[in-house]
Amino acid sequence: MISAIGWVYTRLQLISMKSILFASLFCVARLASAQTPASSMLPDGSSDMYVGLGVLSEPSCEVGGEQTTRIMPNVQMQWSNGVFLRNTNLGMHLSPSSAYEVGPLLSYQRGCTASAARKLAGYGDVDGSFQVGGFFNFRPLSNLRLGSKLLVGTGAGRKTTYLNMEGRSYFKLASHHGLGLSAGLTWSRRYFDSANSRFDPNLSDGALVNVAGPGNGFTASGSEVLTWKSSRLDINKNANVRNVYLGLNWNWDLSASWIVTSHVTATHQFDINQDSLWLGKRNYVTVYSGLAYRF
Amino acid sequence: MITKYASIFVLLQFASVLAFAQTNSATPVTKQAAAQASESQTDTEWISYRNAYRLMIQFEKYGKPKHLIQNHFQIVSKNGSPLPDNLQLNLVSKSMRLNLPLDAAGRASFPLLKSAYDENAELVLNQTAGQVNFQSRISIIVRSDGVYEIADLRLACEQAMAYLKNAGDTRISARSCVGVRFSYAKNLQQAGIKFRGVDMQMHALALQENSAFPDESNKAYKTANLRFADAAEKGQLLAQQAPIAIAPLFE
Repeated sequence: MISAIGWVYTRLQLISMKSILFASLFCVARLASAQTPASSMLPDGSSDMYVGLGVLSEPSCEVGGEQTTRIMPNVQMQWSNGVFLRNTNLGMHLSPSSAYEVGPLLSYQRGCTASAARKLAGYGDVDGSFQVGGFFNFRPLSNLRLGSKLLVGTGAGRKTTYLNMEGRSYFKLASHHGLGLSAGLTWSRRYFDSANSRFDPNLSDGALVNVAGPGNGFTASGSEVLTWKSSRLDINKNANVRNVYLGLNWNWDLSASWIVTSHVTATHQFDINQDSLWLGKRNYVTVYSGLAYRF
Repeated sequence: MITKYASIFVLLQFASVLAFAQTNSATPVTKQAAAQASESQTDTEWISYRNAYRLMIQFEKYGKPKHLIQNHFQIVSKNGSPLPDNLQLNLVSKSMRLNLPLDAAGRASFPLLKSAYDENAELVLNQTAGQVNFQSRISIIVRSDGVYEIADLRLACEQAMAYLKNAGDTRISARSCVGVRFSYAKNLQQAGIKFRGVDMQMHALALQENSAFPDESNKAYKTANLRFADAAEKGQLLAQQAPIAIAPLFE
């Protein structure tokens, strides 16, 4: 009984952790004011931090991708030694000059918990996973920053990659009001984690066959294993994200300590079919608005 | 569905307004604690010290030659009109209130203070809410003896241009140094600014009403331009009166 409660509790924790990370990943690098923490632009030993809370509206990673709304934290920190944290990205500036920014990056990529309906359709979860890589930004114009991020990691037992390229421009609208415009593309290769699925994905369209030897499926007596063999073995393994996006960010400084930050991002997906994490959702919009305290 | 988002958004904005009201009512208290001057809080303008610091530290970190130029924190009016008299700039935080004297061109020396950074201080103007911009301003250092070698002025102009190009100022990307501008108060009768060539002949430079810096649009100063094309390399510029500012000219 106790162990059952424990199991449920752990499961719940996992789910809530996943959804928090899922949510916070959308917020990565959204605060324009913390967007360009150029190296050593702080006094030695000082730090600059924003901690905030806001409301995020985004599509879920379910089939159809219905828009959902949630409360989302927003954390941006940078230290004088060049280390910075932007939600689920931890990096370090190694740039010798202000002409360009370069450094290593550790990033947590959001997961996606498949619903029962989706699992029945043959899709597994996509576990959140860490990726490592680096970033390189430079400014061809004083008001234009071109940035790139390349990350690799492991997910569902396979190698995953993530590439993002973005152009960003910032305008002062009026005293205490700033507007950031961004456009970019993301090319990410990931996989559904069928081992984590409570339903065998091969059930979706397979025919019952008997095979000998170890494996997943129903254990019969001895070494006989009864399993469902799919006629399409490789289906539903890829959970890629390939998109282009346009973003608009509005920052309103209420004081040196309080800031209201809002952004709207419109995304167009290239893959919406079986290879995509975003099944059937070609275009979607993400909206965030929140209050942050700088300390 | 839309109603749901709308209501959440409205709620959030309401929370923001509440926070805004709170900060506004809280700020004067802390300021008054550190302040001795009584200023009307309604018309004050401010900028985050951290944001200004990020702007101003670039000059300190700049590694190429810069010994003939200087960097100031400058207040400029948005519509080009002159800044009001008795305009005061203060650095205000929990534990300090520091007056930063403004010169006639609206410039102040910017203190790079770790304590002000850590306390997230504000730079506060006692008036002109919403009518001014803050910027960093590069100019050529004024000499106390008033004697400027033309070669030094040319070098100073080159240093200023190299710095501004490095900082990403695209307005000057295809330009080169053509001269310098000395600026004086508008009511000045005789600036006594002369050019002395290698033949020791003195030529007075003509004064005209113009802005202290070529990217400003006012006519608030008496200025004298020296163009390098008109001056021998080994000549000197003699300024009896110290100018308010010496600006590099790019074309």
